[in-house]
Amino acid sequence: MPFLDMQIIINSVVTGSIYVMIAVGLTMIYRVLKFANFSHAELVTFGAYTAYIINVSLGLNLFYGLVVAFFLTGLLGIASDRLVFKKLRSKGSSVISMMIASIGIGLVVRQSIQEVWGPQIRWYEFESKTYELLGGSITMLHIYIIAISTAIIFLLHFLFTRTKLGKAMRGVSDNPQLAMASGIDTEKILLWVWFIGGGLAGIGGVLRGADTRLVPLLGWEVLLSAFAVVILGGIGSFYGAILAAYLLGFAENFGVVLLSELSISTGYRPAIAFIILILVLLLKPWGIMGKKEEGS
Amino acid sequence: MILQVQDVEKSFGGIKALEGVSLGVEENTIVGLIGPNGSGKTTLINVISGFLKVDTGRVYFEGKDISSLLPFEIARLGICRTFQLTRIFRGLTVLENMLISSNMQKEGLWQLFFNRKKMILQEKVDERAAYEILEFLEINHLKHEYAHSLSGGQQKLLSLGMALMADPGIVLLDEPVAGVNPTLANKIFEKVKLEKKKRTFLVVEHNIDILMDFCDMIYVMNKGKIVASGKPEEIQGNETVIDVYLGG
Amino acid sequence: MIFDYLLDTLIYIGIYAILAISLNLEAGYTRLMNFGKVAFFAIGAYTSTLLSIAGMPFIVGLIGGIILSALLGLLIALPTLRLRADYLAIVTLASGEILRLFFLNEQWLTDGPMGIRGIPQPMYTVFEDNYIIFYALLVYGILLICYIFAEKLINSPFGRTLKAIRDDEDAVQVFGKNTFNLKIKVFVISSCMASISGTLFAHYLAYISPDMFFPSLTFSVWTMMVIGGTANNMGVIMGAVMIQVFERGTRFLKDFVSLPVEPYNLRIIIIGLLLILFILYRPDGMIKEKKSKGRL
Ligand SMILES: Nc1ncnc2c1ncn2[C@@H]1O[C@H](COP(=O)(O)OP(=O)(O)OP(=O)(O)O)[C@@H](O)[C@H]1O
Ligand SMILES: [Mg+2]
Repeated sequence: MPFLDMQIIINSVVTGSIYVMIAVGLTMIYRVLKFANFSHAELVTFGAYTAYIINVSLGLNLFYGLVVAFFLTGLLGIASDRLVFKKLRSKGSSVISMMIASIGIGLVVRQSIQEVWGPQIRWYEFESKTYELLGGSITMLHIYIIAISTAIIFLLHFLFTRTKLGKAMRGVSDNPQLAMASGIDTEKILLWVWFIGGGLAGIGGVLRGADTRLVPLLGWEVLLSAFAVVILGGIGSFYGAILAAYLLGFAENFGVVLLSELSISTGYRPAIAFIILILVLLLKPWGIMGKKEEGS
Repeated sequence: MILQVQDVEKSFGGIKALEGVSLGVEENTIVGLIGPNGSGKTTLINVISGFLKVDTGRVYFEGKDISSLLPFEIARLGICRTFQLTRIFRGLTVLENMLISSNMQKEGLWQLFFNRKKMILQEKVDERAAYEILEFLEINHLKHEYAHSLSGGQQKLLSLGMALMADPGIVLLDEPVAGVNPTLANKIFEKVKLEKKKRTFLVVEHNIDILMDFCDMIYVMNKGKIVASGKPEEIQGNETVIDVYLGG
Repeated sequence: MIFDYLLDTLIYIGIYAILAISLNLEAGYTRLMNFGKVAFFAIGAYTSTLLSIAGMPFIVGLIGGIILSALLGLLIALPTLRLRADYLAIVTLASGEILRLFFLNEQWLTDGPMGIRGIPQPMYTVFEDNYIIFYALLVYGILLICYIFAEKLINSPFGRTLKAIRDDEDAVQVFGKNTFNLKIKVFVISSCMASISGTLFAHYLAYISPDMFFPSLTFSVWTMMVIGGTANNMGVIMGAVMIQVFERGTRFLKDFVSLPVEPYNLRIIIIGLLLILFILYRPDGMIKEKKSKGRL
């Protein structure tokens, strides 16, 4: 195939690495609290701009920005739960109310960011050399993105399989009722889910911002892809999300080349995730690694 | 046989909830289904009503294989059910709940705008039928209350009323009198008995005494299997049944 | 002058009230989460614009938009309405964005980002000087029809079953109702009504461009419904009045006082906050759903 070259593979892995970071929190919250959290997009944006303060306003290395973005975005995740979602839960509000509220939160956060930094495009400040790799080119930034994401995936794997906290998190997301019945403090675990999931979204935002540019719509632009990853991977499935993230990364990068080969505007790139999403819903609505839910 | 279940298997992941279940229900009878918690009674009701698909096996209603039909298609053939955890339409009034369950009133848009006469006529007929049932269940005074404002027992009565309102050939009742006071429970079964002329009942119930009084036939389930069946007096002394209930 | 401004505001209120009523049918009464309302609004706007520019009369454009909206509604509804409620939210949101990309990228048809100017206005030559008065009457005539239609629909066996589906869809099937079918019907009807609103919008402004159809329009309509009174048609009209007066008020205010924040940002932030606060503390909105006395 003419366009299945090394460059597409490199780009796909980079895209996939970013999507994993964004999708992990989204899929966990989706599973545990059973609602699609549309404000996840703004956690991503928030992380990106937090790192911008550290990196550009304070002139420090972007790595510090990454770390600060993780913590602050994690805290924003917790805050959104404490201030809104937890209250709705305790009132027994429906999943639908939560989705509407998440839209509200997203609007507030995104427009506040736009108020502070304006709608203009911004960039981080860092240098990134380009290297040759098997006929494609890869930048130092891409290597970092892949390395950071891979390291975090392994950390998460360790967290979920070896630690008490991680096992409890999976327990809660697998079967919240059972977890509660077996004495796990669900609300406490939930705080960690928001913190880690939110923090990773923040990291995803920084990586995405470094790879492209910063705009207040940064997170919103990847939200559809993130949902496609979550649903393709199976809601709540960590390993499914990883697989789906790389699959979608590939589909998008391959698809863009395909679009230009067919002389269709590459402006349709977001439609690729959409088509995949629709296909999944038609063919395998519970995803590649999710559990098929049945009955009541 | 109005209803026939043949070698039905159903598992959830590793749990076998139904294992080779077969049973038959004669027309115009009341058939009881008993068994300890988790023995698969609700699962069987779910399978018959189409809420769960069988893994293997068949369900026949009036000779027709219904095992692959959707719940609403099965309902249209004349099978109506209630839920163990009462499910009513909370945001509608008691009367509206009853009217929803009428099979006669259609939701068609054509008649709504171009044949209102017919619609309103049917509505009146349905309302009268609803009042009659509500009257009997002694909740007619609540007809304009929101269903969610009813007590648990009243909600159970309402859901029974809705099932009768649907005028089905067979009603599957999943613990219709759990949490209802004994006098009323008896009364409900009296009503079911009266209705026997018109339709068939399959009733899941933990209260064995009440089943003994009213059932024509009883099936006993344990761990996903039918372990005994027979007339109430046959079941009463059956060793397996005593084992199941006392031995756990 | 001030009279024209008032009429102008009234026309906007009318157009959005139609949109809000249509959202109320699907989301308020049936709880179908349409987060892509703007798609159907845009279809109405673009279809009738293109048809009338091609020389067709207004009524043909109006009906053309309705038909296309119905088709798009079906296309979205068929794969999604069988699945969990929140998938519809994701798919509709995405559809709105993809459609906007279409209007942006297909320059041959829509002039892309430049938008289309000089959209013919129905019966302009007849009324000329008093055109705005005529248009206000036209909008309110159609609003009245939509309102009566919606009320008839809701206070009927059809509407009753929709409300039952909202409470517990599975349980409705026990009574032999094909809930999938009913959901499709109400979704398509709502989509058609949204298209009418879009057509009125385009011919009033006589100019449309893709950046008028951002997702924030959808959420503005959601806010009208949530604060006005979900599942109450009078309530959502009230909501439309409030949000429109607020939106146009802040625009108007900008000319007289200098706010420390960008009015556009402030507007969106307040809309977001209103959504959150109402969902949290006043989920029924200002006017509660009417209780039916059982008479048609
Ligand atoms: N949707 C489901 N998913 C997974 N397991 C299920 C599901 N429904 C039932 N089960 C399991 O199947 C078995 C049978 O359950 P079922 O509800 O049919 O029992 P039952 O006889 O109705 O009990 P009870 O008297 O408590 O109502 C149980 O072990 C239960 O945990
Ligand atoms: Mg049961």
